[in-house]
Amino acid sequence: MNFGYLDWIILVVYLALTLGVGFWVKRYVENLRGYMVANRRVKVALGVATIEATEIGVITFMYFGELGYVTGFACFIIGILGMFAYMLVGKTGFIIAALRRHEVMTIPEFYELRYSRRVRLIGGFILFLGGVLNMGIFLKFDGIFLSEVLGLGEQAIVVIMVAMMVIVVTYTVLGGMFSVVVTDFIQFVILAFGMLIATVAILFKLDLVQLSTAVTQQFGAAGVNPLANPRFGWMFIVWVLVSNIAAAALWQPSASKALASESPEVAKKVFTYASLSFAGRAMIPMFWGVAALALLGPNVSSTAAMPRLLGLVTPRGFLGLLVAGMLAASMSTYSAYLLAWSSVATRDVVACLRSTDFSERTTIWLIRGFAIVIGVFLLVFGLWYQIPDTAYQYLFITGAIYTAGALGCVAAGIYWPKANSVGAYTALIMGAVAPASFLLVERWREALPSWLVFITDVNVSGLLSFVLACTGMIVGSLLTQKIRPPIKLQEKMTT
Amino acid sequence: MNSAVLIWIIIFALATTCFFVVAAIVAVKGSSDLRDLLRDSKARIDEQGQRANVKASTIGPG
Repeated sequence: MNFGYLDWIILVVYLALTLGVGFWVKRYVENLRGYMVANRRVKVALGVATIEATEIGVITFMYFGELGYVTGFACFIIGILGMFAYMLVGKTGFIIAALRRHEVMTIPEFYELRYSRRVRLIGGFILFLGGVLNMGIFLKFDGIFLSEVLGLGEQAIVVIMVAMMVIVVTYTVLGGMFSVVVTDFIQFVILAFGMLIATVAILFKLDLVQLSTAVTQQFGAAGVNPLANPRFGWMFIVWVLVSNIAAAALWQPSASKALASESPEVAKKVFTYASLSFAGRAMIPMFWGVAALALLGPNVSSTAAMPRLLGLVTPRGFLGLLVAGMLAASMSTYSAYLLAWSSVATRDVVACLRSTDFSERTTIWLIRGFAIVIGVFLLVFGLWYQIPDTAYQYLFITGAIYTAGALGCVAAGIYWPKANSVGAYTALIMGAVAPASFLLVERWREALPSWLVFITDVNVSGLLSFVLACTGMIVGSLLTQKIRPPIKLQEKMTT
Repeated sequence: MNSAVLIWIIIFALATTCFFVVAAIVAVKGSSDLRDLLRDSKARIDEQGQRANVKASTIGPG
């Protein structure tokens, strides 16, 4: 491994600087709005940097790198789908423009405006559950990545996990969205530089013919054609496209960037410009995974292959910058996610159990408390849980627990006047059923009756969650129009 | 190298170029956005502080 003294110095200086900035920015937090949505003063370029930094972490590199290693070039289709989804949301303002106009701070707040406080409670709980489960594997993958790149071995994984969590929880708890936005910007710049270094270093080591040969020898047509690849196919493509649209508009950590924007128009521009780099965000680490296959062969652990390659090909000195960039990426993702889930737990779950709202001061302290609790949970869950299938599919299926129902509730709430609270309950619950069932029964695939085996196909479960949620919203609302008349959004806002 | 691989390599090159061009633009323009955000917030905090001082002096013993 190439990680030397100079690399360690770069890494330590970077970590110290990040923590310093996190502490320094604390002075700009004046109230809850400042803490959660940076006073809604984020402009286009800063918004793009912060959404990119949130959506790129070590986990992103790990799951895309893993896909490149196990599927070849065929997985590049995911990058195109992601770009298309964000472009669609940005150009049309689908959901995000309306959410920004109504000035909500979390997505479940919209449920209360359009449906009822109880829908907000249930929606908030499902969002919290899906979000924290989704985040559950981040730390472990970061630990694997860093131990491989630094050449520290498996015994270092736990120490790395604890250190990362302490650093990120500290600056998120102190500075809230201000810390997230300011450090996101710095982190995105360093991260992009690190990605450039790694890609150039790989291209110096391997030529494109070597990559092409490795993929065609290992996978044949399945390595270049997503429809011929057994992991993908049409169902996967449709599911990932719908899922990406839902995640772009409704996944709290990225949607919160729209909610922090200066105006609905700025929010649309942020998503449109960010979409231009979403294909690269996926394809660059996938390319690294393909390079790992070409250089290391097919018999390395699929999660360890890509980071091992980076540790081998990146020159000394640059490796420190690369790891700092990767850590930067991860920390910005963690901080945005921690803030998002702890805000939801506080404002949309705990506060909804009471008849009166908490004061701003209590709310901020509760959010900080939840951020610490989630941090501890991530450590325990990351050490204990073994993911089924690939990390990419785990993340999308846990995300679907929330996004499927939320897409039904929020899209119908904005664009369909007949949507009512019964439809919302049905969409939220039915949207969560298929992915939750997948996570529960996947390990006992052999013991299931043959008619139920379809639920253990991650692509079927994922797509089914959106179909069920949509059906639930339409049928639930239409059958109960008289007993639960829909509430018009405008009326609810003005009363 | 077959044509399917070549197509993916070209798409990869375009996507990577877009990514780094956006990153470069954001790095330059984002820094001025960041300065505006912090300046604006500082001004609001100062204003709030002044208002609190004025209020304290009007309801004070003098």
